[in-house]
Amino acid sequence: MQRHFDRDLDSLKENLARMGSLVDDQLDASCRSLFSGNIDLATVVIDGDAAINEMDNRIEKQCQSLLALNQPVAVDLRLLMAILKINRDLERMGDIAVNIAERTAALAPHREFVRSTRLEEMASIALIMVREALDAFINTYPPLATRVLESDDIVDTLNRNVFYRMVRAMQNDHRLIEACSHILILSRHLERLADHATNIAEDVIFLVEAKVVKHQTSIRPTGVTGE
Amino acid sequence: MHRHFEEKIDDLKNNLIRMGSFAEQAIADSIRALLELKAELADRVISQDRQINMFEMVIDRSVVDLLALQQPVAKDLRFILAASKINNDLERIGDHAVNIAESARLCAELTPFKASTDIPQMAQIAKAMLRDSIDGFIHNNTDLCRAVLKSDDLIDELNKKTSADLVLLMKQKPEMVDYSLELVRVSRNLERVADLATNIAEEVIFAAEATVVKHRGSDKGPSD
Repeated sequence: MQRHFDRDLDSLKENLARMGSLVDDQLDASCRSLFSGNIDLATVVIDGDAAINEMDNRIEKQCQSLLALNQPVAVDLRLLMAILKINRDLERMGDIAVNIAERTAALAPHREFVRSTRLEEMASIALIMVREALDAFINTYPPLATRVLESDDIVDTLNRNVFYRMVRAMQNDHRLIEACSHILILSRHLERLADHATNIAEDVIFLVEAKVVKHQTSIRPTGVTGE
Repeated sequence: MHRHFEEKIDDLKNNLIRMGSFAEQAIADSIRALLELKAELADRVISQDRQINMFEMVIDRSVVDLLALQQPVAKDLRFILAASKINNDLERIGDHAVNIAESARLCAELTPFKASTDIPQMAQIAKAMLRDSIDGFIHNNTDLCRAVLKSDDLIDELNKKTSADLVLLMKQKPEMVDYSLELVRVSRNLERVADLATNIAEEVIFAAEATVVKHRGSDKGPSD
């Protein structure tokens, strides 16, 4: 019975790793399409989202049946809950890839302008964070996860930098307003992408050290029942 | 100190209901702060987000406890898993309220321009979707939840229209760029709130009927 469970858990972890690499590929392709103005590649990304959604449903179903049939406790339960959360983050990251791809056509005529912003730098940091977070999970390696948490501030700073530059650009040249609007949204998507990577990193740390690192404050909500 | 499983499930449900009403209130207040340019109200929304975050952690822990100690199956298991997701969605709704409140505060500082947009209408619809999805959860009413799923397209359309209107406004009045950008941001945040209300509705349907309704038909991802 236990061996059966271990085998199922391994297959679930494999699927999550596969989901991770699908999302990584989608993100990589969407950024390449954006920065090179490759509309065909953008279309491939948009069509590719269906595979991620399918995998999302499959992983959820696998988690549910593992929970229902094996009633795991302690470490195994924490692992299953972490997989559910990471899966959720990955699915949303897949949606971000689609969103990036969808803006490729509108920004293709403004490629030089896009390159003059720090968007590409943001994208490459966010993508590294995604990869490191996934590696930290697959290899159960918290130090890598800690590095991801540290990178999040850099992306936040870049996001603000892009914001101020776009506002100025829009005020100076109204022909750039549409392009700037797209860039602003992309910048925020990249910032969110980094947030998702951070979530995964937090889950890895929680998994290994049973320590909650998010929302670090010391107050309690009022009116919590059953504690 | 052994407590019955049903009681613990009730606690979980009650905590989610309270968290849901916090989230609803946060969205309502942030929008009022924006429309009436009330900076203090915006500040209150921002500082109260900690309550919602704490709820998330408490609920998260009780989900794990329930799964570990009670080993639920079938419908109870689905309920607990749905609760875990709804918890996550509500926390994110709280974050969007904070974003809107930040925009409200900035708008209150800027010269009060008058721009007529569809934001009040969007806010009405998003708040109704959130309320219906939470009511659907409380009363196990899947019909109400299916109605929520239908409203999402309307919000997406309004968000697109609002952004286009504001781009036009920025072209005509460069001095209104700052202000307009905040409104674009609010519109996107409302669209995300509607998405999350849709997620909650999907989870309620899943818990009640074991039917997966997400990723059905045209799944476009975030349209912002």
